[in-house]
Amino acid sequence: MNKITSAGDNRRNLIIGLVVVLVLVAGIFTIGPNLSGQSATGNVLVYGSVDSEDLQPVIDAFEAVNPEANIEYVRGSPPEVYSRITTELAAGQKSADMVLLSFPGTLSLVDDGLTRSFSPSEASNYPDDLKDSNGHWYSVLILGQVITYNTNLISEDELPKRLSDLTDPKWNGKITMHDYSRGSTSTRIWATLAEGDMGSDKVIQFLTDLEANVNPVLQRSTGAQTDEVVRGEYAIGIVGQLHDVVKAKMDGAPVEILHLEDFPVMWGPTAGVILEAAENPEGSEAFINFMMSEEGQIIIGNVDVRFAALPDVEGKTKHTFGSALPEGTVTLRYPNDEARSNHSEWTTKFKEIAGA
Amino acid sequence: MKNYTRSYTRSSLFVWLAVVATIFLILYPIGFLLYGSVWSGTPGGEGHLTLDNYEYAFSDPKTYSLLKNSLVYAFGSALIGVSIATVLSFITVRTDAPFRHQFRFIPLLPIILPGMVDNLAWIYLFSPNAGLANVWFKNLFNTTTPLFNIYSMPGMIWVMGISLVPLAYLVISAAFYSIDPSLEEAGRIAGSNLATILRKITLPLMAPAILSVFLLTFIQAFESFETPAMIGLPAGIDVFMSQIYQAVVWAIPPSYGLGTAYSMLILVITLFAIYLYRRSTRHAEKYQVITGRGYQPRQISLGKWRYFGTAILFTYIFVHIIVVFFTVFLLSIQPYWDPTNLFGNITFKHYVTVLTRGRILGSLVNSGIVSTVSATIVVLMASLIVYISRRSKSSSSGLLEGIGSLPLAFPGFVLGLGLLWTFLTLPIGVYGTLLVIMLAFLVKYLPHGIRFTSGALIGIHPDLEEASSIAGADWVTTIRKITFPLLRPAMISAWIYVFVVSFRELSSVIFLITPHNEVLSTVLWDLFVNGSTELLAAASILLSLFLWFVIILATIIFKVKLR
Repeated sequence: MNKITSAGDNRRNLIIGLVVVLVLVAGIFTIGPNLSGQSATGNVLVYGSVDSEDLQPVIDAFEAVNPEANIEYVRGSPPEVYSRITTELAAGQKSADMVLLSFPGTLSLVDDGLTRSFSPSEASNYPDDLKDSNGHWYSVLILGQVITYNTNLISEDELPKRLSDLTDPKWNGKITMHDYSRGSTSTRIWATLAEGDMGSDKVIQFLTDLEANVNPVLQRSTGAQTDEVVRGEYAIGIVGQLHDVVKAKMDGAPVEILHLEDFPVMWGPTAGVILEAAENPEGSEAFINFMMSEEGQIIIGNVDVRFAALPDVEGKTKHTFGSALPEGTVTLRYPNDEARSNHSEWTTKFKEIAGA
Repeated sequence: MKNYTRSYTRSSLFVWLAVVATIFLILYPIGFLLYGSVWSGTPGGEGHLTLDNYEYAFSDPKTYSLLKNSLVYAFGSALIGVSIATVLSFITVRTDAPFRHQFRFIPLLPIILPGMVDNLAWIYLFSPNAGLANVWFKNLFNTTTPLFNIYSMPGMIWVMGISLVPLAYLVISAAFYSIDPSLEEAGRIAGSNLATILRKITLPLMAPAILSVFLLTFIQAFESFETPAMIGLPAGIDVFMSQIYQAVVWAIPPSYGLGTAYSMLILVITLFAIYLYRRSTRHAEKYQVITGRGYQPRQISLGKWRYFGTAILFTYIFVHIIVVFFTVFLLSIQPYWDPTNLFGNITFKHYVTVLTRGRILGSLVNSGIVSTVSATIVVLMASLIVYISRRSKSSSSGLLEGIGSLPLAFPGFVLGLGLLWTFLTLPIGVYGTLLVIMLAFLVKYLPHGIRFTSGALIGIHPDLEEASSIAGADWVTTIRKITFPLLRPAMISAWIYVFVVSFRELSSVIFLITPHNEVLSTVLWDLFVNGSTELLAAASILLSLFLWFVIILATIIFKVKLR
């Protein structure tokens, strides 16, 4: 026998259904992620350019206080990470939740509109130049870029004093250089100098003379370039990571920072960003917030060798950016706003000079 | 009669299924590569059809210098590799040089070395200023001129050439066994001396085999990536492979269109080379039929030159095995490289790091899984293809082996890019999994599996299988009881070979790696890119020991002889 449903029954069912839906929706919002607490659950997939073993201590500490979270960290060079992310996202594939890249890579992702704005609670402790005013990136550690030389190959009195001294043909075959034509770190550094006090004419003249007189061997990464100077294949390296130099010196390697009157030590943060397409933005934000906290920064600053970003932890860590440099060293953050907005033009210009 | 008819119908269906599956597996990535070369965007991303990539590639004068460099590099490397292998094969197989038997398998040892390790060793020996040999030479003769600059075209050719010796030796030494000694004997009776016999009889008889291995090594060099990247780039010498890598991986933003356009150009060249290779191999196979008749290679007496022959063997072993391994080992125990003080700061911390670093161990496990599964599938599939091709009466069966051998023409990079486009474009959810890496290895090494098993199957006379059928055994029983036991040694050899070479393979997987499918070769490459060469050296030493352990274990378990 078929049951006959009245119009009244239908109306009652509709009302019950609506109430259930409302309760469920309200429940979702009530029991949803509490970002102010910055706790995390689930898997957080992180792509980054920081060495895995350098990041592992802070990952371990984070997972200890967030036992339901799992950080999955995958390292690659900044161009590799950038290529992978943009390719995966364009194809609609799953990519990382968050990214920890040196500053040029970070800015490329932000400028491509691939990141989201967020506001970790620890951000209030950071000065303005270590975080984005729009909330897309926050500094986690500091990278310094320096010119290096091999102390076995160059004596003190032979040391160049100014950038132009490096273009002397006597250095032909003795200088290696991080490739400045790829749109990565070195491109940003030279563009910043060109857009700043040094001026474009001087930078272009320097690079052109360097190519003509010295024919520098261009290297695939700043790390490889420092390695070449350390082992004595080249006398001078332009530019290498400060933390790599400090680490090599701790091992007893014959490498030093070359101070030039007109070349400041360039610095930029390794920043944390969350991708717009992240599957676990809450966990990502919690991890970035933890790395930015005093506890996280002390862990980072005690790694051999990394420099914490938070100024307040100075004196509480084994290494600091300031103490790695001689007193009175002039520093300059890269890229400046002009270099950032004219990035494509500078990349094209540098490709021409390098003959790439 | 009815059973036979059903059997042939089933067999024919099976052949066609195999043909379709093989075509899909091999031609699909190439189809996507072609599509990528005329697409303006990234794989699977927005874009439109265009010929801009080809226009850019062909209008750029650099393309022609890439072509010239690539051809010179590949030709020179093949020449070096084949020349050395021919001399070594002749001494070990055909002469009475002392210790030749003991040295018969030693030239094959370096086959386990990842390509980047060979390169690393030569860089640390002959880089102009910090290379060990150059520093010693300069100090000894009080000069500033290096003995040899590895960062040069001759340097690239030497490193690639010597790394090709094991492969060339494998083929040429087998061919030397198959020469009919009566022809040389006739020459000797006619009063010819050793040089004349070699020039007028032995070398002409060997010519087809040498030509075929020359083309094979030419393709290997043409598609190689490590030497162009590790030595060519610092030397300022670009070839196609280094250019594709730079366009796709090192440039911001990546230029996939240009990378795939270059890949298509390379594919045309390697397909032509493989066409020549197959033509020359056809003659070689005809020639090899003679070997089945049981000729024994006759030893040629070197007389007073006997010990000179042994000295050549020792020189090769010293240069390509002892020096290379020792240099990499020395590098692995340094806190930093200082060629003037190699024993003052010895440390084993890099070995500790390798054995405790999760990423390296995780990738080792992945490599183990991928290589084991890939080697197994390659051997089974290759055996099936060879069996169908050689035993089926279907007209399409010959086509199957031809298609299966086609990937010989696919440089690893080209294959990797094709697979990347395939899996990023097709929404089948396998991108970023180990399955993608396995597929890359399956396609790349299928021709190798076919080469191993086809040689063995030719030696099994069909009479044995026909006798089994007449005795009432069905198709499956015949394969299980007759064919498989006879093919087993070749299948095990093929499995060991594919396992070892896939473990160290880099170029075909470098574009396919994501967080969840890293393999050891890509992690080692990352160590090199990042300048962690001491760590790379330690990992390479451990990897070489591990692969030798696997080979020895496999030969003991399966009771096979290395050959």
